[in-house]
Amino acid sequence: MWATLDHLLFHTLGGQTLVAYGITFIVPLIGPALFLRFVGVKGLRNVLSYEASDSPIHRLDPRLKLLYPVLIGVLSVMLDWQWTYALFGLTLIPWILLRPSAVRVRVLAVIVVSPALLSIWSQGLYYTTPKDHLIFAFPVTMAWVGTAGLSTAGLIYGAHEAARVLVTASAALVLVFTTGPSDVVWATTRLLAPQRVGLAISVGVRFLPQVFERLSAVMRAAEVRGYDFTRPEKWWKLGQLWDYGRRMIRALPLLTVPILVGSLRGCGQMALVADSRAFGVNRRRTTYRQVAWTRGDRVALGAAALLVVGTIAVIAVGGGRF
Amino acid sequence: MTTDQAAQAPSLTAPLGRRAPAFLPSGAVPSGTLRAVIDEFAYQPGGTPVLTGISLTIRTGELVVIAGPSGSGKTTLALALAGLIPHRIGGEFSGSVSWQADGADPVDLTTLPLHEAAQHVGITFQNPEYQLIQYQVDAEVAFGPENLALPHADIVARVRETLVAVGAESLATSAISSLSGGQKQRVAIAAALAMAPPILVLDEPTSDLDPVGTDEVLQVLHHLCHERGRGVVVVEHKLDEVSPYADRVLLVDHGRVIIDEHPRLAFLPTSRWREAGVRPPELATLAEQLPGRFGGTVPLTVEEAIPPLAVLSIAPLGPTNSRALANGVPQNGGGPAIEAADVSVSFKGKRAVHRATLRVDHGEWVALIGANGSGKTTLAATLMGFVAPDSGTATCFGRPVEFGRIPRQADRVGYLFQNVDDMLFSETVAAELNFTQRHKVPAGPNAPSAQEVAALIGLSARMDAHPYAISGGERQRLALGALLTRAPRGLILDEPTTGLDEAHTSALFDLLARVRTSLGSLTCLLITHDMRLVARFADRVIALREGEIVLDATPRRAFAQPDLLESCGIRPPVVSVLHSRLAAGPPEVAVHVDELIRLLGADPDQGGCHVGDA
Repeated sequence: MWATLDHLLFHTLGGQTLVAYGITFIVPLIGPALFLRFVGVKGLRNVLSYEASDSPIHRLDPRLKLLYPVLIGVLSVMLDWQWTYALFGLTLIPWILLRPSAVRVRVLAVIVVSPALLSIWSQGLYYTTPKDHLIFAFPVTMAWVGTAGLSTAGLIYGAHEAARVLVTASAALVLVFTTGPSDVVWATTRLLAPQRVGLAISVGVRFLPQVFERLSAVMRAAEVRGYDFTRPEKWWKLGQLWDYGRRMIRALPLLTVPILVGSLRGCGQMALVADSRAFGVNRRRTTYRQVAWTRGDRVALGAAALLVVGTIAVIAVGGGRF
Repeated sequence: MTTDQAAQAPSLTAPLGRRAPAFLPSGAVPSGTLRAVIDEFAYQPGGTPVLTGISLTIRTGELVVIAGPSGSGKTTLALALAGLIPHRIGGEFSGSVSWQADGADPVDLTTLPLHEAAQHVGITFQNPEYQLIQYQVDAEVAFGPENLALPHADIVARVRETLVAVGAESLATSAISSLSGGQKQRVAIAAALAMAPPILVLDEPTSDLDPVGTDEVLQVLHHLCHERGRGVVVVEHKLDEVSPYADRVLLVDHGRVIIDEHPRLAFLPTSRWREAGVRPPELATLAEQLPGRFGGTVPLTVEEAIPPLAVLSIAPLGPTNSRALANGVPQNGGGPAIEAADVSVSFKGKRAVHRATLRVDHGEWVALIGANGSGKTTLAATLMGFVAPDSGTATCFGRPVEFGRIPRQADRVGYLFQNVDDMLFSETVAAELNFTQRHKVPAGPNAPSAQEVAALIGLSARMDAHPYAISGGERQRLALGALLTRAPRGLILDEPTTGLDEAHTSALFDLLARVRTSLGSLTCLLITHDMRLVARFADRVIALREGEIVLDATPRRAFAQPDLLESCGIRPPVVSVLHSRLAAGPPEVAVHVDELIRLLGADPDQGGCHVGDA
């Protein structure tokens, strides 16, 4: 029976096409499926939000926490993939200090692992050279996807890239999890020399949720006018799905007008307010909020310095990427 | 607003005097004078002047109200007073606006950089949303002093002092997005005050606020002015509410200041205000109609109005002429049009509407009232299918409301959003009214044509105009007209008169009356904070408090319960409060000035009673 199955799946055009479709379309769905099963949209909103606590990481200077994922991201690019996995191991230390709940660990694992899996899969399919060994060669019926098949070299390269995804996501989520939005804004404005960039980020954080609320309001208003955004009840009814997609695309210019007009009016007023509050008058601003430099900050800065020195040493002994 | 906060809020009818606030600050403000001499200002060179022949002097310690119809130039005048014209807001300007501290040389604000002008005259705008640009309250207030590179200790002192001055010290570490409308407005005022201006200009600071929230903001302005010595200039439509605090009232019309008087004198004769399209305070109308009682001046509070009227007899109210009543509750004659049964809604675990049951009959006009955040819009959104209830059911014209199936629901009920700009999508008025045909939207069998609707809403001559190029009142009518092209049998109107003056408000409701006539019947659910509007147009009032319906009665009966309404963040019209006080808490009260005057004019021998007998 296995021989028959093997023959049908791997030695007939129909079977090979079926397997190729599975590799091409089912694997990329694993990430979203894991995400929907263990996180969901609401879960994402909750898990990607600040959670108050009194951990040593929470108490660190927000500027250090903002620089942390940047530093880790830069180091991960400089190291080869084995050392990048070692760096990933080091980024787990702040998580140990944080002691997040099991639920949050599970959700965070999905968020971190799903993109890594997708990275390995996409490179497995598309990082191919003529000399690569193909684990599975796609039949001629799959020529339209633009790849010869699933390659070993691609999967290995994907694993290298995944290391960088893992390490950056792990570091960035420490920032999100332990730093309130106001601290992020403050740290950003303090670290960025151009005041305008700082103000832009501050305004963005303040108004981004409003843009979504406004989009929702405008869509409702269009529906009240009779425009139908209702999704088809059965996804396999392709005609309805096509019609739905067409309606959504046609609505884009409709919805853009009120949002754009409202935003431009708001921007004009914001500019007046910023100018009337002396924005940009002095090159150096003084600060209302002053953060005292603590022992924890010094320890964190020392650890970061050690990490940089260690990375240089690793690169010197041949562990670098370049 | 919580019940506790509402209970602590000072009453509109309490003696005003110069009350000592609970949050008196200590900072001294330099005294001086703001002078504006504006020969002419037009936004376009050679265009129609928006301001003409203005000559104003405003002292610190004065609270000056600027009133006028929409488009009269009052906002432009406010911008000019703050030094934003002509350098920041361009146009053809001739004249001067200057600040002169006592004993110092005058400073011409029109030539100063904006941040320097802002340290003499601060300004806040109508919508606080776009003037709060930081994430957190204290960061917002500190933004100006930080930009001025003040020493840290000074910034801390300014943040603390200004937040105390506006009664927002407890909000210092709150996220701006978590604040109510009134709180945002107070933070916006604090942020302007942090630049330490002796004069503060506010453009319609209470337009989106419920009556209690409005009074909170006005109290803050009163204290800033009369306790701290700042000059306050406030552009305001709510003359009933603001007049008791004002030292001067200005009527601006066609770009000119045509009245500049103390509020006791400014409103008489009221015809000058009505001709300009501005609704004078009810007490002014009362004083004008009873000149012998008030000696040609206007009482500013109910307390002031009571003694001259206390000697008069007051007749009992007759039955309302709008519909038959039983115990003050209208009889449901037309059958249910819109119904909610035991509806509860929550967001993120927070209760928004709790077990609400209501019924609006065919042809009935019902007002849904309550404080900001009391659940009015959520309940209406549930009736429209925008929001899925946690429990309970809603029906509209015999069909259950299905969450998310809004286009189907919109066949029967139109929903006019508070911000009508969200409802306009097309490049011309004609295209807007032809939206249904252009997008193949099904309409009712008796749906009027675009031309018919344009004639109904009075925009036939503006069919080629861009919807954003017409006035606010016209946009309001256009949005309503766009809904009417589907021939709905009912309308839900969410704060339809916010920012509209008396003339535009009347025009809107006259239009609704015409629609009612042309369709034969029109059911309306009106969400509003304007109790005079409720008195004029509503058959019935439903009040919400923290998501629960606590009152369902006729306006006459509802306005006779000021304590209950106060707990809902609502204050009855002044005339109703006056009647209630004169007759010592009758079960029903007059809702119009004319009605009260008729009752006061009744002969005791013919069924009336002396005040105090009831």
